[in-house]
Amino acid sequence: MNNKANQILKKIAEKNIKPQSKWIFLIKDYLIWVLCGFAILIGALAMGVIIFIVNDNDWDIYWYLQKSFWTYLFILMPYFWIIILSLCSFLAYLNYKHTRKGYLLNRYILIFVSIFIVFILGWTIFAIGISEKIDKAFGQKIPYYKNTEMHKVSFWSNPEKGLIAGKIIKMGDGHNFYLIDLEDKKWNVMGNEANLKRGVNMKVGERVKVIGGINEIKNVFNAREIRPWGCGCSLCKKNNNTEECNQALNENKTGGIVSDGRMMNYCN
Amino acid sequence: MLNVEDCVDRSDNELVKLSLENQKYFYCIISRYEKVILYYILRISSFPREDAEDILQDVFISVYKNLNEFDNSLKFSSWIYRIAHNKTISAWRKIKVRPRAIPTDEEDNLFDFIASGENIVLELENKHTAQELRKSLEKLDEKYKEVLVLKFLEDKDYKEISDILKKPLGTIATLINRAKKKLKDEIMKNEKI
Repeated sequence: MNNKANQILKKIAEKNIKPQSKWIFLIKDYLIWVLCGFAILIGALAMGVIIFIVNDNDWDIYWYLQKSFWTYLFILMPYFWIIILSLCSFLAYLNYKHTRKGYLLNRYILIFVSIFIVFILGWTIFAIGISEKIDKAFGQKIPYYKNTEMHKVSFWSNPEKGLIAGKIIKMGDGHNFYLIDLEDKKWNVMGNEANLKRGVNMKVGERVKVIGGINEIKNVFNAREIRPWGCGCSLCKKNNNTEECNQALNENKTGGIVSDGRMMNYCN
Repeated sequence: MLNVEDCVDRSDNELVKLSLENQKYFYCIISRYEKVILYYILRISSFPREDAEDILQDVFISVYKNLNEFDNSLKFSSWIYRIAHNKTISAWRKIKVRPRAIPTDEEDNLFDFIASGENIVLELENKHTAQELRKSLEKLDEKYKEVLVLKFLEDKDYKEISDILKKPLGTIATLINRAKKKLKDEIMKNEKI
């Protein structure tokens, strides 16, 4: 008889060691997969919000605000979501590596596949409008979180720099209209010469952004370009129940993809 | 009482199954792997034989405790080597001593095998003694030494090394190639000295 083997068996008997139940290992395996999936989901939500922020911001107005592109980028960078995305990606990677076969996949392939999955999921979340809701909700509930809307309000409340935004309250001749801006000031916007961007719906109640300059006549603004307030990147919000939205719903125009590939929203 | 002869014809997987039903069959697993695992621990560590035997005991206790975790798609030998590798690394981390390849009694001709086993440095085979090879191997980084030990001393294939060290196959292939070059450089350096 083998002494060493007997010694080990004796030790096992003395310490009353028993094989751990199969369930413990199964639960551990499932838990790792669940955590991995959860990290991917949160990462995808963060990616969705990043896509929304990138898409919803006007990247070409830094010149009007008298800032350099890099300063403008520094202000608008979604740091919070980039940190969340990085943390979740790391957690997903770590969890996957701890699955039974996790070590077999090359690190670079794993990173590439993860980025691809998170991007696709993130894009889907963005396209169905969840990203916008998250961004808004965080702006309302999380202190120090400045959402896209808040950035837009501060950037587009600069008539002296040629940027105003607000709601159309009355239509005039052609594309001239009256607008109440974000600081409740009324403007007579001369828009006949303006370039109308895709997605602008020149109707009372519509929220628009206007690039141009203050006229010598008081409260008159000469528009060079008119843009829709939203990026037009989420599906119609059925809960809004605005007249336009209902009309759009009746016309079965709840939203669709416009020629430049973006999701068009008729109910902003 | 169970005899080793009772288990000779049984596969590792069968023995795992039987051990879960009857602890006595674990005796066969211990007998089958005791010697190879002890040599492996000695090869990758600087521990004296008594300490290596303590680690060996820990390895088998851990194997027994975790028998239900054994994945049938893996070779049992790869699994037990993995546990032995982890236990040895944890043990030397505790005492903060870098593992060094210490030759076992049968080691000298095995070190010769490194040179002749695959075309690392075939020309070195005739020029260098096992002693010189051993000295050079000891100077290599841990990651290079462990793949060389598994490949040439433990005679494991790439898939098994990948399963033992939990690294992708491609990484193992790269590590082995680099390790061979590093070993060759180290031998050349020693030769100059």
